[in-house]
Amino acid sequence: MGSGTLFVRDGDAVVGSFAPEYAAVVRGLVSQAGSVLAHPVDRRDPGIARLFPDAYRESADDADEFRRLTESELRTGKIESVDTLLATLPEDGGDVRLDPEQASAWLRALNDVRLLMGTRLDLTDDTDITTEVDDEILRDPQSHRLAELVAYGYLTEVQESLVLALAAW
Amino acid sequence: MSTESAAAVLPAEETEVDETAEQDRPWSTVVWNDPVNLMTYVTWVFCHLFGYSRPKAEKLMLDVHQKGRATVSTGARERMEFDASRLHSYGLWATVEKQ
Repeated sequence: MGSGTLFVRDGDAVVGSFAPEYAAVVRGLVSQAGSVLAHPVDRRDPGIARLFPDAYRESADDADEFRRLTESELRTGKIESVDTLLATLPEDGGDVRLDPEQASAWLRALNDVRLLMGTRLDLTDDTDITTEVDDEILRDPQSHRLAELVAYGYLTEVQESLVLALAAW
Repeated sequence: MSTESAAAVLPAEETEVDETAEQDRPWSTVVWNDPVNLMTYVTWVFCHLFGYSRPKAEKLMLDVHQKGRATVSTGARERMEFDASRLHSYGLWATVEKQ
């Protein structure tokens, strides 16, 4: 799904355009994450554990206390980011224009989705998505894992393009 | 973060002198490497949340990437907890520890 630069800067805003099928992919994955986040946090799910990490490695008590103080707000914030993305990406695709706040929400939502998918796909620092996709095509071109890998690669492109446009580096 | 939580972590048996030493010791917020977060995104988050210059943010990002972790802020415990919670909202893997 190599689509090059998706987002560009326009004044204070960032603008991009999504073909209908790409908008559907993004909306579908972000909606799924929204459904997961709508439930109480269950850290037995490794993806959720990654979105709500322990703030203290050495003390379970301190980690629990931190969680008691911050978890609810953290979850609400993540849901709001998902909602912002879904409210600003038209279902049929088309132009997207984001102010810096909205762009920031998009980045957080896309990142959370990628964290959930990356955990599910068992990605490591050494994983090369292109190689992984090629291997999977040879193994089973119909596999669910292949579809997830391709979608993950696409979300990575969208996020990368958006962060570069927003940072205006 | 309330100041209550910081007081609560001091063991009851600590002497007053130890307690002062404990409070003076700075805390730090540490960001850990993970295979998903993009280098550009992590750099942007450090600039955006902490107001760091791009070179400083990139240096920290590279430390995370190459050394596995980087201390991104230091100071009072409550402030470190605030920083960690903000980093969590951006999906970064952050912890708080005593230096």
